[in-house]
Amino acid sequence: MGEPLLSVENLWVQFPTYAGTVRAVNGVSLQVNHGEIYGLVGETGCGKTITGLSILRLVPPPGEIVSGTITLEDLDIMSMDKAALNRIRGGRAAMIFQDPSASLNPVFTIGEQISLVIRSHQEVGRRESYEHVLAMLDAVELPDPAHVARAYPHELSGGMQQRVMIALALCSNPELLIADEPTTALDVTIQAQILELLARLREDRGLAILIITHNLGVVAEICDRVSVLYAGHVVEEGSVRHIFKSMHHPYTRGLLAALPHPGTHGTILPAIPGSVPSLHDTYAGCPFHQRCPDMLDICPVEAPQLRSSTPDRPDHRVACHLLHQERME
Amino acid sequence: MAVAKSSALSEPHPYEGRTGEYRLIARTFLRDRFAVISLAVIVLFVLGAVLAPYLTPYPKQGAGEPNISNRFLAPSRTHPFGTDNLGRDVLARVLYGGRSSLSIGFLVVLVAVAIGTPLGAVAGYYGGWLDEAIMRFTDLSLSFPPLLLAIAIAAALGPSFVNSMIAIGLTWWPWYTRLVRAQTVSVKQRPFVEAARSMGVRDPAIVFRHIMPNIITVVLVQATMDLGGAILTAAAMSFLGLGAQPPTADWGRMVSEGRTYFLNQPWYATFPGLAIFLASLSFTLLGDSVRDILDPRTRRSA
Repeated sequence: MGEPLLSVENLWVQFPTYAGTVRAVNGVSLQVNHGEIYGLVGETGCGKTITGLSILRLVPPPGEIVSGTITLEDLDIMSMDKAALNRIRGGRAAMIFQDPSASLNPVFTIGEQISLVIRSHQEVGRRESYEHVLAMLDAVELPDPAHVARAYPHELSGGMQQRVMIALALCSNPELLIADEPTTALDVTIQAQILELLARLREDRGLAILIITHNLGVVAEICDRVSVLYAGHVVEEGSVRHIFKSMHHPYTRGLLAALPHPGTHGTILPAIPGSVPSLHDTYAGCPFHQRCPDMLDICPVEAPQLRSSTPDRPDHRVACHLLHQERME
Repeated sequence: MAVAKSSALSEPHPYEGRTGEYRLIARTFLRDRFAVISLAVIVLFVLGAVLAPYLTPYPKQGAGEPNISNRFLAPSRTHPFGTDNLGRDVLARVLYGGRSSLSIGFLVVLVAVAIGTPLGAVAGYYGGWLDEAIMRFTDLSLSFPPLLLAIAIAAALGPSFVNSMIAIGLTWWPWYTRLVRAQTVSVKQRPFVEAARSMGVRDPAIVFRHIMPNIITVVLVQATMDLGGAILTAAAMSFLGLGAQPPTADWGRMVSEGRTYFLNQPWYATFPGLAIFLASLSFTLLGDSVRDILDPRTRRSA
């Protein structure tokens, strides 16, 4: 733990469309260490899924990574050809998605699907992979793996399906798992079980996990560090413990305030006014300035840089003029 | 019932569905009256064609030998369908005619599926200029009236059984290309394809292992329904004299020859015409039922 595993530097992703260029990801940088659970949080359309897909170069066309570097330990993912990428995908890094029922092929049994992924990475026959299939199903704590191997996806519950997806992702013993909203389609108790499973996989295998979520509760529960994304920009990043103690960016504060908890019963939840700026627009200044409750004169003019919040916390960094102004005073 | 029996069966493959897919398919099928009847009719036709020499007392006439002294006998116990203008037993001719008419139907569809499916899958999955090239060529092929194109090809190649099969097959494949391309485009956008890609499954495996099985039922249903149409088209071709050549028996040709005598000897054109009608209707009905049965969702809810 502690050694950097994945490093994304200054990633820009754009979608050229007839209506203009959509800037989905604007200069995102992040670093995930070995055995770390890293959260990427933000509301719908803030570019978090595209960031996740970019790491495996899976951005759907016409989207393209305009610039940036992505390295997985010593491998430069941006310069890889297709064959090398296929070895990485599901090899050293794997990804799971939001809706497990749609992510499994309805016409195959579970065993067949896991076997196909194993055979895409290793020279083994269909039958020889069977032991491996059972071992994978067992690793994600599914009861009676032989039974599950013969089931079709629709015969399993949502939680079991997501476990199968995780089993698929773990086939080649990856070092990094990118989990895109892994619990969003599940109900709350199952959600807790899946998070528990992910936490245990980190403990047992030293797996690093990048969790993409809109749910600050998920972040608080299992993440070590977190980046808050807004309109394709990282607006705040740092250790989860420290950020929840003292968050600085008005957007992060708004997100947390909008989260219902027992104390808010009977009151109207504070929402962040307005909506995410259209990613078509080119705007000057801070991407959040139109919705920000504490806007300063400089905000619409100049984009703030990510800077350490306090000198004793160099890893907690915030992109907000407010903070720096406060410090100057 | 099903549970008790499953252990008695030979051990299934470890990845096979445990619900007893085949038994379920069979049970749903047997519950569908149209499916059973149409399949029975088709099986009868196929058996009749294959076993024709053993079923009729006049195998030589079936193969084409004339027997002028028995011209135009009305249906009777010795000749249930009567005899034709050359004195041949019409029942024997219809049974023998099934050999060319049914096999041309199967072969035409086979040629069309074999050409159309891979083209459609490649166009749909890879997209881009390859898609454009394949689909514009498909459009080009579709812009000719199909029967006219088939007639032109067959006329150019010379009238024969094989040439008419090639001619019809060449006019039929674009439909499969379109069908398969549309299906591929829709299936490839489903999350499990992205999931497979994110796990390093290579393109050919995605096309053939993930996408194809999801669209094969559609192709199969279309193929089954097309069998009827192919038989009809083949009959039309041979009606025009471009199919199997005499003395080979062929339904379309028999109708064509029989129509001259239709007012006085209606049995000559009627029975091969009925054979065409029944065979194509049965394939169409069967295709309909196959669609219901092969779709796991409608099957389970049934």
